[in-house]
Amino acid sequence: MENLEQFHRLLSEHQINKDYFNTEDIFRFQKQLKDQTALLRGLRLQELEPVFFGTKERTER
Amino acid sequence: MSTRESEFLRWSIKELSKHLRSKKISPVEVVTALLERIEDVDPIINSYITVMSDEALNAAKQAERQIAKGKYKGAMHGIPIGLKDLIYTEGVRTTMGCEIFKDFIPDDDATAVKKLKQAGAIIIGKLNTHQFAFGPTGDRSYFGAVRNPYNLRKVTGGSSSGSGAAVAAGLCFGALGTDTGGSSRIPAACCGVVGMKANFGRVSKYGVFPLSWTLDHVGTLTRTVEDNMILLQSIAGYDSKDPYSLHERFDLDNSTMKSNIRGKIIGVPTSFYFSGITDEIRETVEGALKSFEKMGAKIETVTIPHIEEIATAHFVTIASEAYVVHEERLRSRPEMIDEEVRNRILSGILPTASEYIQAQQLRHLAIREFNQLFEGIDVLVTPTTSAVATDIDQREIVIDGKPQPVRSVLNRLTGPTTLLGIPSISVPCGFSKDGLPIGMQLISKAFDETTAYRFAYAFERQSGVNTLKFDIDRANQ
Repeated sequence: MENLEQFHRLLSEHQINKDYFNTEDIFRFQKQLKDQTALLRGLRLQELEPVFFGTKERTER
Repeated sequence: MSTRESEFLRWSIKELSKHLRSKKISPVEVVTALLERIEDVDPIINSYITVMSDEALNAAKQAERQIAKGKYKGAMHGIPIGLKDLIYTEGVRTTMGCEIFKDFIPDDDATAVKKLKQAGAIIIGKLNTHQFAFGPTGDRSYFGAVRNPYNLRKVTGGSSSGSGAAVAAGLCFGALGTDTGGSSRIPAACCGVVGMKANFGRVSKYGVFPLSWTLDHVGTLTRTVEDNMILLQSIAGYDSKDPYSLHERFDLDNSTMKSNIRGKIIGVPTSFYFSGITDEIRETVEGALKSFEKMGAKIETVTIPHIEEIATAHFVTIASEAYVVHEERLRSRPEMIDEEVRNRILSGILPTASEYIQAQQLRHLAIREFNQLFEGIDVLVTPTTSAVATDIDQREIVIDGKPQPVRSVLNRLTGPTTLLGIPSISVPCGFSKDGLPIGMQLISKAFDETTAYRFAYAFERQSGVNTLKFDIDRANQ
């Protein structure tokens, strides 16, 4: 999500009245969330797939 | 209150049980005295939302008749227990700490409540909660903040705020809470009592209002470790009404729990769990580790490679699922939800589907890492919280010169094992210089509650840390 207007549009699509929420704070929080979840994305190939495929070869290709 | 009453209200479940069984005291006498104490003390603690006086007295009379006829049901027979007000009670309002549900009356008991009643326990009332169980402080409820019995200006920790405070203040003999990220262990630590989150699937969640259904657990809060085991035994077991309930064998064993820990290995994860915490928390937990060493246990430093990512996966999971639980209420009645809680719920609209799925993949990785860890150790020991109870309404605290959100300071160390679902217990291990309780978390491998209890019991016997705050300093409001 690039800006606050997009966030407000998302809320509107979900029929949620933005006036009841501190959307600026929540939008700022998005940045922190994305930084954190980037950790998970970074792990996906190197760490997670062997759990399911039982081999490291797939990640070492 | 007579000397006799003030004496038996201080007893543990085990002690009370012994006297009830031998008919030296009657359940009616206990419930009557407890109701008087609640009426006297709870207006300043605010731990109860609904006191079930009539129902409790009727149940006490029934228990008295049964025990008199020799139909003693076991250790929970005639014991008054409080329930977090998120746990359904047939015919008795269940509010979730929210205005929307202030008059909601369930038409069925939660399975845990049915089991308590079958064991002869007496439900004394419904305990206050952080609204929808979504917060670790315990000061956001339609029914007001719960006050810490050790200092009325401080939070109890949450979300099972009323459960922690009522057990600590002698307003019930044990309580059920819930735990989705630490909500039983955090109030246990802040109020100086024992709080257990048994393995995921161990206790049925049928009739427990959800926060995050793949993380929610029912928790047990008591004043002693043995009481906790007695209470857990009474509510555990498979339930076909809960899709997450498990058939796993339950071998809680009293004699194993009481056996010594000589030669056993304690893992201490130094990073994450011991960083960003206050000095007095670190020093107190390190002191507890020295006690374990004196008892013959070995301490080993261990590493959990992806602990930061595990914490993130927990966060993504709880945020996403809580949003789904409450989406319709955000749409239709946002004004009836506490402002802080509703903003927190709305933040769960932000994680994408792929991020949620990655979090679930990481859950599998985490289980693998912890399984490997427990091949070399018997139990993990960590602090329960990063700081002691903060002021009511305080939202930031400085640790090591850095301002940190109180929410994270309270729940950061308990979230990971909720994601894994493994047994985790908080036991009191000392007090801060200001007299506030400090909790230590003991984590065992999957389905091995007995080992967590064993180390907790050994420490409790060695340390003798007080777990009852019977005399409340009313001036300190």
